[in-house]
Amino acid sequence: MSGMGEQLGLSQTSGEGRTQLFKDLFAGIKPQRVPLTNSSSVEFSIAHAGLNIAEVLWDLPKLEYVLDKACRDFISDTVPIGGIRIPSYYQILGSRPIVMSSSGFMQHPEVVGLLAEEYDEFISSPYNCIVEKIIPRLYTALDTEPDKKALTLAKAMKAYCDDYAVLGDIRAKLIEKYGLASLSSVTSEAPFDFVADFLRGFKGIIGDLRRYPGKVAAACEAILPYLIKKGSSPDINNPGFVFLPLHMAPYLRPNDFEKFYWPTFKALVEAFVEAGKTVNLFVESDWMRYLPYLYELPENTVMRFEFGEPGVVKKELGERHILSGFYPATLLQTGSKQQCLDQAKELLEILAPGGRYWFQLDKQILPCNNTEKVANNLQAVLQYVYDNGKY
Amino acid sequence: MFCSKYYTSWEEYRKQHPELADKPEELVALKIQKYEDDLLNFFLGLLM
Repeated sequence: MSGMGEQLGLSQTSGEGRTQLFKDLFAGIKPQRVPLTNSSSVEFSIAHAGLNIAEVLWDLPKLEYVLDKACRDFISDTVPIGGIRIPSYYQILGSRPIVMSSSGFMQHPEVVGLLAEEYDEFISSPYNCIVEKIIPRLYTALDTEPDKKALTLAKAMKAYCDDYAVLGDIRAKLIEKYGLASLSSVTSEAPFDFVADFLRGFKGIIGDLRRYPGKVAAACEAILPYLIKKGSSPDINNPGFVFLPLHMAPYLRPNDFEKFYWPTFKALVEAFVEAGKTVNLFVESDWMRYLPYLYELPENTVMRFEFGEPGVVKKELGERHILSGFYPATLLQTGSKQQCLDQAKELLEILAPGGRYWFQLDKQILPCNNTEKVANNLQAVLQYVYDNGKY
Repeated sequence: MFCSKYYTSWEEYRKQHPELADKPEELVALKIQKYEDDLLNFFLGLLM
């Protein structure tokens, strides 16, 4: 697929023009055309470039070649780099929650960082509890004598800063070279998801809702200011966003959602918007029963849906919020080129009218055993959206 | 801002370090607070 960049017309929109697309989009103004993002995971792009995932993640300068190839082969208004887990500092810290698999993919096994009997300690001072109990339990190289702990943490922070500096350089080069939109982002998390994911685990939090409902609610309240702080980086430029990947709501009963998930999640989003930031939600799994709640969030919240009915979501939320997602990444692997184009056409017809639409797949494309077919279908779909997404 | 012995705001830090009284506060505060926040964000990031 080398050399595809020219036929993709990558120079047809300047970096400034592409950045303007997102400024308009996030302001609720109809942009010149539907902005689009290549939703490949870094791991998929590495496989597409014919390289070994572990080798590239451990030697990040090689990612420049990988992402440069992705920019040449797939039209995108943004740098094709979504969530990335870098192994160096996880390894140094003896990570249990994030580990590299034999294929090089960074995985998240179920873990419990906070014991049920430690809820009160967490509620009293989340940061004390994180430093003293949770981090050493999940990051085993920090569960050691103080001097050694200090040196390990220093090494990990150095690795973290070095690796993200490399990523930042690569990103800047690609924005310049391919005239991409310069979007900055920072990640935070809904308080209930934070308590569930790495602290109590999926099984633990579900049981806690019955056994310790008051403590779960108090824990969400206690961590809220920290998660506001986490997403309040002054480094976000315009256009930029606070990214919130949403996890647990579809697994909760509506009453539990309303009582435990919604209040602190809504407060979090409102705090960011009050501070002038755009909030970008990854609405994971199926949130159809919670659309009235999502409607209540501040205007122009970006919502990338995984599953659901696009027509209903457009009708319920499309005049207030910015919609994205829905395109099934799996179709690129299972469908013919025509089926993939038909799906893109259908979603454009439903979601693009009136603006407030950003074309992304329903999730990141992961490495698979049919990389070539997925790449060809992805290339055709992105080109189709580019050609047919003009307003 | 946060109730923790592991997080020091600039105001608290300044009180604990009188030797900074004649230094350019806006520059020192920016840097000291940045690294305090960076470490907090690093720990929170490890739990996401």
